Amino acid sequence: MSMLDITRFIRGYVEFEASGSFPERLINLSLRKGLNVYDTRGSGGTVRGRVPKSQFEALKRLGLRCGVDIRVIKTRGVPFIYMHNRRRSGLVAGAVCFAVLCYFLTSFVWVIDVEPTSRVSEYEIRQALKDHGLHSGAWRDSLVPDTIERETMMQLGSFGWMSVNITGTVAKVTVSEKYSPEDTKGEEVRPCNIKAKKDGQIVKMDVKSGESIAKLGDAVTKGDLLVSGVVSTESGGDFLSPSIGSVYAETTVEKTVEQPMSYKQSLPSGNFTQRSMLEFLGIRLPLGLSYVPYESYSSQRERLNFISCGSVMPVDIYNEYCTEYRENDISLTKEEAHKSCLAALALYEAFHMRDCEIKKRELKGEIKNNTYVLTAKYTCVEDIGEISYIGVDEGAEDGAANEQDSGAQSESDAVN
Amino acid sequence: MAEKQEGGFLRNGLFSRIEELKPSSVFLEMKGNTEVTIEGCKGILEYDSLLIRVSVGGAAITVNGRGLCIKCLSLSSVVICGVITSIEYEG
Repeated sequence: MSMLDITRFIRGYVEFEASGSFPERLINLSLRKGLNVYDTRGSGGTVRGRVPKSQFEALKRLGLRCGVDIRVIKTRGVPFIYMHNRRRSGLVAGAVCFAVLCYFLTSFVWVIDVEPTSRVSEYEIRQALKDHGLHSGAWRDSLVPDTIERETMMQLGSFGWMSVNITGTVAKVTVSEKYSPEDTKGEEVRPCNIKAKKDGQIVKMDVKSGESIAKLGDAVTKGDLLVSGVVSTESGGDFLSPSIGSVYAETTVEKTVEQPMSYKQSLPSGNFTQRSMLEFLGIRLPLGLSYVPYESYSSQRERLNFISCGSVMPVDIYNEYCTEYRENDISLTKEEAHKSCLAALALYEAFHMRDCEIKKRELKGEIKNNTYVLTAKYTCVEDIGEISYIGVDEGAEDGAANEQDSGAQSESDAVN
Repeated sequence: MAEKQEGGFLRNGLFSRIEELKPSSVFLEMKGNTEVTIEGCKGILEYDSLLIRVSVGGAAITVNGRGLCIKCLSLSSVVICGVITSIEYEG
């Protein structure tokens, strides 16, 4: 429906049929009189058309003048709807209530549009916003965007910039992540040294900038200077430069995992219950009479959102799946305990040693006090270099400030 | 040097434009066979879904076709739409 159609509907119009000896004359005359006759159709010696309600009387007079019979086919528009329903006071009251309800409901924030970042999930941002008053169903006039922005940024701490824009019933939250020195690792521009963060024997060095102090095959201990940012020139002078590079060393790591030979463990019994709840503007209403009859259970919650025109509506359905758990006495054999420890080691290798290349792994298992203890001794190759800035600026990071003394010491060592 | 036009600017330019703007002149524009605009019309003489006849001063233009209707009508022009099969000029 175009704006023209809407305007015509608001003004109201009459659809008529003109019949007689020469109905076309009516169109010509109405045009000359300035009457707005539109959507004309001619067939079988009659002409149909539409005219605004306010001009229909003038059209009828023209029809009398030119000997054309005008018959009303239908009337449409707001004035006619009002005329037909003016005695029905309930409708008027309903319309007033509707307007008041619309006004009242638009006083709340219904939709919160959040853009997640790579480090902070959308859920975390929503929870932080909720803690500071911005949630679905919040009273719009009580919200102060500046305060919400400031307090949310302070709580989450990983945002460099944040904006909360409340437009109508939608709050759009835009965030930008904070600059992190890790983002520019390997691109240091400030003078720095590279020091060893672990004991080991150097097997490979890839130094792009700075002066190598350690050499291949050297055994280094934690804190030893590997690459110096104080570079000597041929003319005998020194200058400071950022040390960029990787120093790989063969290191040893020992990890012990334990597995009791007999223990109690909660396991799913196979019974489960589902509960559903309707959440509207922060209020939860149970859908159904089901309850959780178990003493010990785990619950898995699922939230179903209603989406309209790309926006998440503040009406959710919560489904909660509760699975009963019962305690069982479990006794393991030595082989089973060994397998369990191996699984724990595999997780350790996957999450804690992902940057290392494991060269050798020696395992030693024994039972002590009804517990199977598995000790793994890894020989691996990893980058043991860590940045240590030389000198301190006012805007230096905390880590750099902590290493001020050691960095300065390294510098003086290198100069000497 | 540019050759001087015979009759000058008034005769060749302005007067010819005035000729074009005379009320008796008719201008027809067709978009495929579905829409025709007639400028310079004086009124509707006949209006049917198969035929629309428009007065253009001392002559008449008949548009034949199927499902014809007047889309837009003003004091000096008319837009006819539908499936147009022929247009006749009755001088």
